[in-house]
Amino acid sequence: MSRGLLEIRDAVRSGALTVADSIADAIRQIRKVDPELHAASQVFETEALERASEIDRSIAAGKDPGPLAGVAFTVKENICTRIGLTTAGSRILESYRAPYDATVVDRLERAGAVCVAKTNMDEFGMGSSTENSAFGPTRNPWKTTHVPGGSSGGAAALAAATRGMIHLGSDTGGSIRQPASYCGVTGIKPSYGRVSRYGLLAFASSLDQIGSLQGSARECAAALSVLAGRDPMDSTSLDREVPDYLAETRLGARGLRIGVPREYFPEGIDPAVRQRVLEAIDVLRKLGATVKDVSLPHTRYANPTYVLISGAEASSNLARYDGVHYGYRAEKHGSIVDLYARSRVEGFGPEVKRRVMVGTFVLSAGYHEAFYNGACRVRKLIRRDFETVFQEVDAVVCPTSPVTAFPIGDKIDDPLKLYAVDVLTVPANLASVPGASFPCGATSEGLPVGIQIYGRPFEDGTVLRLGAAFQDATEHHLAAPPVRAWEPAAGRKG
Amino acid sequence: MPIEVTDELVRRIASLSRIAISPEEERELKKHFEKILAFVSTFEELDTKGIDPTTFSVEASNVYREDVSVPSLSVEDALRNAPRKRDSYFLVPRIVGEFGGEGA
Amino acid sequence: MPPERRDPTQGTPFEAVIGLEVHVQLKTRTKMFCGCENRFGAEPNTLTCPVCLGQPGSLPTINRAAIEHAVRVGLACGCDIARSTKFDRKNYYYPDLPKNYQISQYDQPLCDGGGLDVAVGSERKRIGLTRIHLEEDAGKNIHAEGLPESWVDLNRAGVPLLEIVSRPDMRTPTEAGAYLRMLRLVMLYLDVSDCNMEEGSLRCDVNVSIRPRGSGVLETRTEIKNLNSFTNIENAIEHEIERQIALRAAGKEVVQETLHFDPVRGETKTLRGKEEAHDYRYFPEPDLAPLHIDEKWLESLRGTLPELPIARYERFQSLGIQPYHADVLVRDKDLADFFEEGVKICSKPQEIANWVVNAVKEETNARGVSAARIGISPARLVSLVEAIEGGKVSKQKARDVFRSMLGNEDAVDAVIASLGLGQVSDDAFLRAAVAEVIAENPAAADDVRKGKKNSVNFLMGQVMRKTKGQANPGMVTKLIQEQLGG
Repeated sequence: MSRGLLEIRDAVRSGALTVADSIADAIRQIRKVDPELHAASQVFETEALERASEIDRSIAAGKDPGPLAGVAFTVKENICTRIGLTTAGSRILESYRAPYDATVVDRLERAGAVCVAKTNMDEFGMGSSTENSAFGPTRNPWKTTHVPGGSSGGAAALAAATRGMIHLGSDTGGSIRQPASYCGVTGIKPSYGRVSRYGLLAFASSLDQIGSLQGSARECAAALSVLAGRDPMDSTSLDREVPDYLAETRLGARGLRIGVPREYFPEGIDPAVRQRVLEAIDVLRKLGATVKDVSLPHTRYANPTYVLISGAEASSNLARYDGVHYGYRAEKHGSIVDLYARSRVEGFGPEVKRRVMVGTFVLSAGYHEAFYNGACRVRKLIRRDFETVFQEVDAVVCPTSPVTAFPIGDKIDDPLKLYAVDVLTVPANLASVPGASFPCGATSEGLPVGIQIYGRPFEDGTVLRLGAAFQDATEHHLAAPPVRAWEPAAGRKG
Repeated sequence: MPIEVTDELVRRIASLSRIAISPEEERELKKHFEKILAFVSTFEELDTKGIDPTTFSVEASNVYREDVSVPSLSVEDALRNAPRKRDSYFLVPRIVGEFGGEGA
Repeated sequence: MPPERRDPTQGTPFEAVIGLEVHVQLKTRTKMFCGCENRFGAEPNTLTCPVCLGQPGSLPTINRAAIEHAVRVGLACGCDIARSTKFDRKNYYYPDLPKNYQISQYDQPLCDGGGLDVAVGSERKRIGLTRIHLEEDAGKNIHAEGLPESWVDLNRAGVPLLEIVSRPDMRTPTEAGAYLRMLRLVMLYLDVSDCNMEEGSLRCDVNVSIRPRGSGVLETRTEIKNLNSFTNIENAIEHEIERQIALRAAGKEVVQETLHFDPVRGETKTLRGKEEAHDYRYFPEPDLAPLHIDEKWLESLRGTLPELPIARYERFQSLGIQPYHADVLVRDKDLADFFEEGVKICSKPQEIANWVVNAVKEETNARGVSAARIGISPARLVSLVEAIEGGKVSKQKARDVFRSMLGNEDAVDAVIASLGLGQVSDDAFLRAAVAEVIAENPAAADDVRKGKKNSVNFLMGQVMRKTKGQANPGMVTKLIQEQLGG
């Protein structure tokens, strides 16, 4: 039976487990499930085992290998690693080798963790199903005909199908939380500015954050303690103390005030989702949290605001992918203008092209004031909603997505339909607040449902604390999907 | 505010985005833009007068780096991914004078 | 002072309206948004990193020194310094722009207003500034004739650039040249840039239009780019004014366009026709925090400002030196500093100025070293000046003494003696010598009594021969005139 992250860490520390064995097991797990899931875009077996042996040698020599020694991690394809390729799920970067490691990768490695693989994603983070990957879709381990969610679909699928690893993802409008809920795992998007973005291929600079998808709130806490903190290479990362997140997860829910926003149970929400989430809120109430109804009145403007702002920033951030200094260059081209236009039309998938052009439209002369500035003003109203609500409550609780995982191919033709699945997650990015999804049950078809918790800026610990309290009282996060590389403990349902 | 999405607008945006789309993609994009406009028209219900659109996403200001040099990448690393290169330079198709750049 | 050029609008019903947009590279140690070295002339693509290469995932960070330099320039020019400012993205595609956007400043520039007092001939004119802002430089594209590809070097990408936009206050090529020279001088005094057009650390685009004299309305203007020297800038402006006057005289309209100046032919050619205004889609840079500049910081930067050129010029004049010398000194900070040291210990400022502007400057020009390094200190130069004043050596011979004093610490008396250039200023001795010469040349003496000035020189020459060139010429002349009553 594979171990959870904290057990691995403790076992390595006590000498009961070598790093080499731990990493070898991680790779074994990935290789077992990946033929069906197509979640791992690259596996670094040789390099990982070499690195693992190095760490074992340094432990033997008496050195402190770091708080995460023995833990394996995977990296979403839009985060730079010197090892292997960094493709962002796009043809335009299909052979790109980054000349540097992202800060988050560096921090995990210095903590003793070992990178074993990179994970599949919607191209450049644009999508909610991982069907927009240039390298084929990833499948949901709960039902392989269904999507795992996106854009961190590969990370979510592996987080469900394996145990004990840290799966780095990124979240611009829900790309960690939504796939976490579809795959029945825990996923956190930290407060904006909590974790460095240096090395994350930017989609929307003021919305993007790196976070993780893992087996439990405590495992996420252990990872966040290492990932969080000011990075001089990222001017948007704040210089705020990093608390002991793991310790916070042991504080329980008693005394915390929770708000349930009425706008987050929209018409058309899957009744099973509503049901599971209300049940989960009830559990929190029984654990000692006070629950009240609140209102975030500008919620219905969040999606359009997100579409405009993320599109605008993306159109600028993706301008650099032009076939000149790196990346895909069209073979047949004439002048330089032609080179740009052809490389980009051939290298980008349809959703990326669409969003880049919408973004250009939003910023263009004549429309800039109404669209871009207009959206920025509305964003402020949305932020104020949260500031107001957080004066009365410590956390906001709601569903992560109005629906559960859907069949591959279902929504891909209508982008606006797809945007609708993000409607409950985008507000966190717009308001720069932390948000996490925790599994809280399943539908009758066996598709996982996630409950989402939002906190005040830089109170990521409170979010994880509530999640941990919930997980101490329930077993949803221990449920085992049909496609998996681990065996549940005897007595747990499979 | 009714904005008409014309073919000319779509073409201009595609050109500004440096993406050479086909006529069929142009038609699809036109419909998509129209949907975006409808999507966004809900903003008009709101009173946002007096709100400054410029906010930085976190509470920070005056974030500086000291003027101390750090080692640069090797030329090999800098050019590692260049589709075409020669002798330490990136190669691009010939840039003609009146191409719309700034070219100092 | 550069000579005044002709004003091409003279005699026409038009006046010219000229504005200059100058880009100055700041000489910080590192680039504007990354820690790569800011250095000219390195091997291609050796001063790059993921940030200035625009590699995926990279992020900019603001160089504090660049902000400080920019604020000091703003203070020196009397600008309003923004208390709240930010960077913006200027979006366009070009191979020397790795991100395909430039981080610049759009609607909240660092500095606003201000101006420069400029000397034009003997007049003083104030040229206003519209704004000063900071941005990053682009890389370099190299196009070789006949080759199908362009070569891109990104060493320069990310170097801090100060953009200084003048008001269209200039009316003649001379004024434009004077403004540019003063701007450059201010930059050198502040030590923020080398302002070297050949190395690209100073670049200038010009906007020119004409209008009926006194009209006050701005008319269609043309932009001239790719100008690579101050002289070419002045020539290009002169030519363009003439071209526009000729057009209007022929009843034609001036077309708004971007022009290129060919210095060999002295012609402007169209670079780009009237085009759609670039849609740069400016929006605030989301990767950089805004800047708040407080009073304390501003005051501490103000305290670092040196005495600026115009103030120094005026102070030098108040010391009693002539405008020409004051101008030459002020234009070369080195020389001015040398002069100042000398004046501290000598009460003959004009004499010191003469020597610095001539002998010292010749040395610095010829050897390409600063005044501090030519091998004679201000104190020793002063000792030479005092020796001349004291009659120990003639002015004519003093240059030789100067040269022999370079690169050593020898006292001036010793050098004079070793060169055998000592001048005799002893009254009795000279009186006797003059008397002898007069006696030996009665015809010439008579001529002098009759008023022939040339004969004085002849007699002087004889005295010099007799004294082996050591007689003090001033005294000899006086003695000849005294003894001959001429």
